[in-house]
Amino acid sequence: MKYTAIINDKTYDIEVGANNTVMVNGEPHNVDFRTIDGSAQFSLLLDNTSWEALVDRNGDEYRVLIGGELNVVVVQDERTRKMAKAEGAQAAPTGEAIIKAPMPGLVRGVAVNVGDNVAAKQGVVILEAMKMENELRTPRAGIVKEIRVKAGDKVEQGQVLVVVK
Amino acid sequence: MRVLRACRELGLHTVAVYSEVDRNALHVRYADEAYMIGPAPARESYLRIDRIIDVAIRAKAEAIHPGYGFLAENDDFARACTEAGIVFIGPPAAVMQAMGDKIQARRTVSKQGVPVVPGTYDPLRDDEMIAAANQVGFPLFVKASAGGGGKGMRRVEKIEELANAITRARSEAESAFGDGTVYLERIVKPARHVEFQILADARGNVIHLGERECSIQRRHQKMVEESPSVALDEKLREKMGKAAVAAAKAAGYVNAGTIEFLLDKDRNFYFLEMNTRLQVEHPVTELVTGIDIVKEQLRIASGRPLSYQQKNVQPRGWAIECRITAEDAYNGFLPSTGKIISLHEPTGPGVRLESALFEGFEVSLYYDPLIAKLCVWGQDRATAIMRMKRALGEYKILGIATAIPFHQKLFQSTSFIGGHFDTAFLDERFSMEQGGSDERERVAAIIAALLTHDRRQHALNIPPPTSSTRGGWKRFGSLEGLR
Repeated sequence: MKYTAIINDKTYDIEVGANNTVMVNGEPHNVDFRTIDGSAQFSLLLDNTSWEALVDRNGDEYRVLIGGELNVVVVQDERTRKMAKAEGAQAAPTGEAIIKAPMPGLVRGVAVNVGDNVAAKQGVVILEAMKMENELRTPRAGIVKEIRVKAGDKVEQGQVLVVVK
Repeated sequence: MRVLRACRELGLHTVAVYSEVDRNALHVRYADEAYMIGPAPARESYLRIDRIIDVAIRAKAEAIHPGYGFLAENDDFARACTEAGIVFIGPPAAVMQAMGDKIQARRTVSKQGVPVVPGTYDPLRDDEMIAAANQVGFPLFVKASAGGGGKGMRRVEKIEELANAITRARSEAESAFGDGTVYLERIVKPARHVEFQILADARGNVIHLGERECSIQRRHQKMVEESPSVALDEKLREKMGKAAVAAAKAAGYVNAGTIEFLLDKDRNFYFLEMNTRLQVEHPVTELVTGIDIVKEQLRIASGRPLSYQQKNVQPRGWAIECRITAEDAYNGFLPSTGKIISLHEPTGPGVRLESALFEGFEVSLYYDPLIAKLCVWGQDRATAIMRMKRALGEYKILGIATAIPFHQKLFQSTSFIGGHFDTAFLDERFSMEQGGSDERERVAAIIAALLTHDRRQHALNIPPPTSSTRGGWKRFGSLEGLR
């Protein structure tokens, strides 16, 4: 099977073959890939070079932590790649971004207004929890469609704070 | 745990207190006796002086060690212990109160010729402060005299902003500490945070155990500490050590304490404040001096003299501590909560770990995000840095996101390795995004592709995608196929 792995703006063409081989951008490699704990910890011997990784999956997006470095990888196969092309937005996330409270806390401030243009990773809400003020950021660029909280509000975990479209 | 260990080594019987959510915590299981003192929120349990004293009386405890959080710097607690006939392992309540009042502390130590950060030294009226401001110099801080934790603190760039800042700092200090007294303090920048560990017995002997470099701070929270400091030479160390001892003597200090200094780029040092308790970062001092500070605290509290004289304190090598917090370094340091599903802790030569963790432990939002302290010793700084990198690489905590990746990035930073940093380094000149390696990126791509392939091959077994909340390194639930 052929896959395309996208990290930032770089793409890797990866073909997973039989007998523990992969082709990476046309170069063959030997792989021995194992789960260590049955969930998030993995060991990879790549041409006998030993790597350990912690992986968190979210849809087609993998957050791969190796030696303290985080690489966010989006993987497409031929089918999803075609679909993405059809939508005219290869790998670019679409639709609404809903910023929820990751933990219960107190809203210290809202840094945006409805109708504002926001850039990806821009801070939108300051949430106080665990004695610290935490900046919640929008995962993608867009326009602020809704703001459902104001400074001083107490919020529950998972509560929707801001919607970006 | 740190205190319980010292007690056990001394053959002392120990009593722990805990809140409802901490029933399974290590300290509860490790102590000889344990008593529940209330629900999870600290103000209903760990901050309840009455309940703690009540437990101490019921358990017939002779002394209370307050640790380094919660009530450790609360003079009402120290007083309540004394009144109940229980030894408080720390300074006398009056000394704690005097050093907790920043204005009074500044006056007390400056009388002994110890330089303090330029500013005002008396409780002044607003107009008096505004008149004094130009002499203090801008930018400056308006700080609460009873302050701590950044509350009642305002940064002021120019004189027009001052009146408003004073009003706001006063009202914040009034509501947070019940005391609206504020003072002005010049902002020393760039500066390093260098502090001296003090030990003082009840007979008037005061010694210092050298310095700790604590400039690696994120939003005023220390992340990494080391001893000694690259910024000091023997001459300056001796001078600052003498000043620290003089400051502690001026306060009539007894037990373990810390004198904090700011060191400017011209190597002038200024007294900042005194911490009247054991500090989180005390292990680095223990590692280089070989002195068990907690055991000395117990010894001092029992009225005996210090086991060491200044000339016996001979620091050796280099020690570094990384604070491991339950904060997602790759997501703006958001607190991360959840259950520890797998834990592998670093060991080996020169590694010391103090940790609250075990598999099954629930990291909650109720308390401080500090979950472990990883410390290393090496014969010099370069060795200690390499050892810390090695230990961080071995450390695997699954179930929550932690600050470990932050530390791994920091220990790759040439500025940090070269010792070129000050208190603004993390906030202004460090980023989690900088300097990824191509090789690791390639490996990450291969791993992600292999995982996708595995999911496609076992598509029929795959449950619906997990929710998109990113609390940490969550279970996939679908990797049976890899066995």
